[in-house]
Amino acid sequence: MKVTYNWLKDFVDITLKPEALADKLTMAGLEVKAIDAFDDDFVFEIEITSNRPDWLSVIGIAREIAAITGKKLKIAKTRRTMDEGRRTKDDGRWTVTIEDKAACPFYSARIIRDVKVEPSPTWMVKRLQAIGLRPVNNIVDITNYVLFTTGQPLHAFDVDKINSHHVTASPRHQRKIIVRRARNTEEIITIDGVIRRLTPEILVIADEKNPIAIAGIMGGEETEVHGSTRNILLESAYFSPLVTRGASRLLGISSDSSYRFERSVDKASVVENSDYAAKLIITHAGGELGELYKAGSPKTQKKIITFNVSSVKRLLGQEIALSKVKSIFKALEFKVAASGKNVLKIEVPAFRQDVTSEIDVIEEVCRIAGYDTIPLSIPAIKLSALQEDLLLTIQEKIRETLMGVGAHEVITYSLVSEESLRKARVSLASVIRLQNPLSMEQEVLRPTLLWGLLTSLRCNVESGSRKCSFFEIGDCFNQGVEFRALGLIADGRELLEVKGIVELLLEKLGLCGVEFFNSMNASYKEGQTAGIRIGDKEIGTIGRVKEEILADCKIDLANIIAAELNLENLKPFVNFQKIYGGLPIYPSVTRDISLVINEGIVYQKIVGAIDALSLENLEHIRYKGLYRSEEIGKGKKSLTLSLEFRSPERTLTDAEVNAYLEEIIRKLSLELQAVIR
Amino acid sequence: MSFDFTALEEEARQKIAQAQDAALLEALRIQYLGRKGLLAEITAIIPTLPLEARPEYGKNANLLKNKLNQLLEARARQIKEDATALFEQFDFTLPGAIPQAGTAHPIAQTVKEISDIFTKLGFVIAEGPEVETEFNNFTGLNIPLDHPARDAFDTFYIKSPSHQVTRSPEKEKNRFLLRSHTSPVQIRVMKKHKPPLAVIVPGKVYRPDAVDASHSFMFHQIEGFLVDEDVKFSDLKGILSVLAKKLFSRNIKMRFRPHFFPFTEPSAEVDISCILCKSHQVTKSQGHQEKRCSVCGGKGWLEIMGCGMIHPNVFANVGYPKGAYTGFAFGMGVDRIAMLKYGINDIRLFYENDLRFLRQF
Repeated sequence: MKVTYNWLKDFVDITLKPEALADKLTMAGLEVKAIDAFDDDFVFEIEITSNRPDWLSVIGIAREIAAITGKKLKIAKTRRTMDEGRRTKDDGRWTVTIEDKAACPFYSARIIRDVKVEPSPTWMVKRLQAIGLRPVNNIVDITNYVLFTTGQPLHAFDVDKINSHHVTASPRHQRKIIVRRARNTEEIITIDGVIRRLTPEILVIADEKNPIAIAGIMGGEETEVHGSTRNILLESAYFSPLVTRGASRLLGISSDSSYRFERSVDKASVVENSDYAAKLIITHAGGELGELYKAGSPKTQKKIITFNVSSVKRLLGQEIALSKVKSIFKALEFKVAASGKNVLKIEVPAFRQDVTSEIDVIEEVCRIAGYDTIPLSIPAIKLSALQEDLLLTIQEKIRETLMGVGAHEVITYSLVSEESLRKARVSLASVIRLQNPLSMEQEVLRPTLLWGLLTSLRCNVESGSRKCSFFEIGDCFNQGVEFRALGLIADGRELLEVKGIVELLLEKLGLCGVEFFNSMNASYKEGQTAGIRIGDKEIGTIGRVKEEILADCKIDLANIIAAELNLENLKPFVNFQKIYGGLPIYPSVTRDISLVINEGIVYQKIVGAIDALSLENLEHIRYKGLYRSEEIGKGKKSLTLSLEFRSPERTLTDAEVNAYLEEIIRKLSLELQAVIR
Repeated sequence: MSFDFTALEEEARQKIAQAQDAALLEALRIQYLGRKGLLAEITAIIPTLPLEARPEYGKNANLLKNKLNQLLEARARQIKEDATALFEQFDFTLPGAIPQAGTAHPIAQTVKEISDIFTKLGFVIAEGPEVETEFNNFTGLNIPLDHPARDAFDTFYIKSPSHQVTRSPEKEKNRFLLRSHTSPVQIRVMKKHKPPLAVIVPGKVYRPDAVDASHSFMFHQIEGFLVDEDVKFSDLKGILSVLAKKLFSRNIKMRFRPHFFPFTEPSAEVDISCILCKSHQVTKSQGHQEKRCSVCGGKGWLEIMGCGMIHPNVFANVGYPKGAYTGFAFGMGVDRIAMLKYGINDIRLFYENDLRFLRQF
């Protein structure tokens, strides 16, 4: 909302300089975004919050200035100078009918005859230009001028164009203005020259046959005031915020008029503001005041709020004197009556539709007294009933661990394109889509973190960073479920290294019984990917990213390993409890053995077989290496293990350890055809 | 008997220069300056000289002695230096081999920094889903579905209505959307728990804004709220001033401007004094504009968050008895705060994840 300094001065005495005034307004909730000099005036650009339609007018802002600076409003002197005697009665030549009283509770139409349409006076042109409006002619300019002065949108019709195809010879023919819902097949050409298709959601002003304006939004071209217009019908009405808003959205039109009706105008002042406009028209365009037709009622319900002044202290932590409270309300044009000790009955003026309950009243007191009068205090904070989700601790642990192994945390967009998921070979079958995406780039909620990690990798390859690992912790969405996930991607690390990182992570989270099992995944190379599970619960995936994905993503690298964990699925198994297990007293004995086994026998099988022996002094089995060669033969591999033995009671002898080894070798050769090298 | 002082000096100079170690040098010292050395011999003959020749001779002997002392000392020093030069000395001017340490994302760091301030005060962290119900995002927060207040919260809606997207499925017959603020977590927490509640809520939020240097369709917020039997606006001011002082600086100034949010009343926007220019001139004036601060645009103030006392309607919507509790809530944009704090001029940098950027934090 733009207003000028001099325009405001028409309605309130201002002694403050523009900058000081701007500061006062800002600190009262009318944030002044900019002050610009315009000729001999200053234009204030003020951000008006959506709860205060009364501030969408010079008078509304002047009223606020009066309250915060302690000056008197001069509305009556400036505006209310209409000669009541000339308000001609309805002579019955027109009828105004409202078909939908909910959409339009009150409508007024005034006839003004024999106006002379010409350019507006310079002072008015200057003010309109200052706030960014283009002057048209005196009639249109006056309707705009009154809109900005009072907040009441007006519309002037060329009377002789209404019902033009029906005008009969008889001057006594009764003519009609109907406020009704548009019909499905109807159209109107609005003053911007656009043909608008109408629907019953849209309220229109119509003559006996056709719509002549879209109620509260924009007039029709046919009945527009132009150079040769002589007689006008001046509309001033109250249209329902909901209906106006709905129509404005449907039609994609937002005008100064619709903006105000959407937020609600002051129903009680509809006629008064029409009078003001009529007076300006007669002063600047000549003409003769005609009849005033009304339909519906401008009455609003009287709102009285009981206000216990002591509730101010409870909510603000600061008492405000009763006398101060009273003077604040008087300045804001509320009526105040005492009603017992510390209790006031506050009557809310019609233009303050935002004030409906005691909290609104407290806000007014606080706002005008100034937020800076409220002291600072530190509350006693009690233990909340709410307990922190374990997920938060899990995330912290993950972040700490992964940073420790040199990985970099990234945050990527949760909205991705279908195409990117296709490139990453991610199934689109059960993804969740947006109804109103900004672009195709952001139409799907990511089902995996893989794509984001690939884009981070690509960005860094392009900028010359190599051999880096990235991770992201964030929500993914799939099959109707939102879940927190961890993704990790590594350049320059081997599969076993990345598996090691994942194992370290899982160990830090205290997870037991984790199993990696070969599986298939469209994003990972066949035979090079595994699922991760605990019992029956699948908690993640690891693998080598398919080379064609890297090619499609224009990542000039090979050998990219990625892993994903579903933190929600692993959460139930997390255990942060630690118990000290003592330190060994006696030395251990370590023996390495190399076995030649069939290609199909996995490491876990060997370990499982050894474990099955339940050797009481076998402390650790460690993997040392895997080796294939022609010498060993096709379909065979050589596995080297390191076995560590220790007794908690004594130092083991060579003979004892040898006996254990023999037992192990016997079992492995018997069950798995392993051959010692 | 007489001595050629010049020849003696020249001979000694050569011998000393040739001495390769401290022992040889010591031998030379004894040879020349020892009790039975050359100089002793020279001075011994003084009584045999004619009286008039003695002063001249004595002076020359003395000069020779000083000269020899000098030569021996200089050579000793040289030998010592040569010896140490043979040791290998570490060059500490070489750059250290810095280990490949990982980094936390600057947004995550800022979230943690802010959360830590509040958890130290006794607040508890809560999170909520990014896919929300229309009720939690709007209606429950006193934002009527068809009200101009909604204009400030343009929202992404979820397409497939058959998919009920929640972390803990609720039986709510309303549309799903990507939350446009973290405030719906207020509704979730309060519906489940009775006060006292001191909660801090970090998280991602979404609004259909075209991406540019200062806009992003995805960004981060931190929401906080305190609900108890007697929470006051003065408490809100106190707590937020602790935040501003800890997050920015002890000397930061703060102001609360009246504002409108449907879910709080009274509501305020919070400004801090500009962290760059520290000026407090309110406006630009015509023509003669001074160089305007790139951070605050010359206003001297930076808007950093919105806050207020929780609206009674919100308490009613979560089923709290009327008048039983009061509380405050506040919310801030993490991206904006990180940008202010670190002097970052483009929000897109956060989501590109260029290591040259990430490594700076």
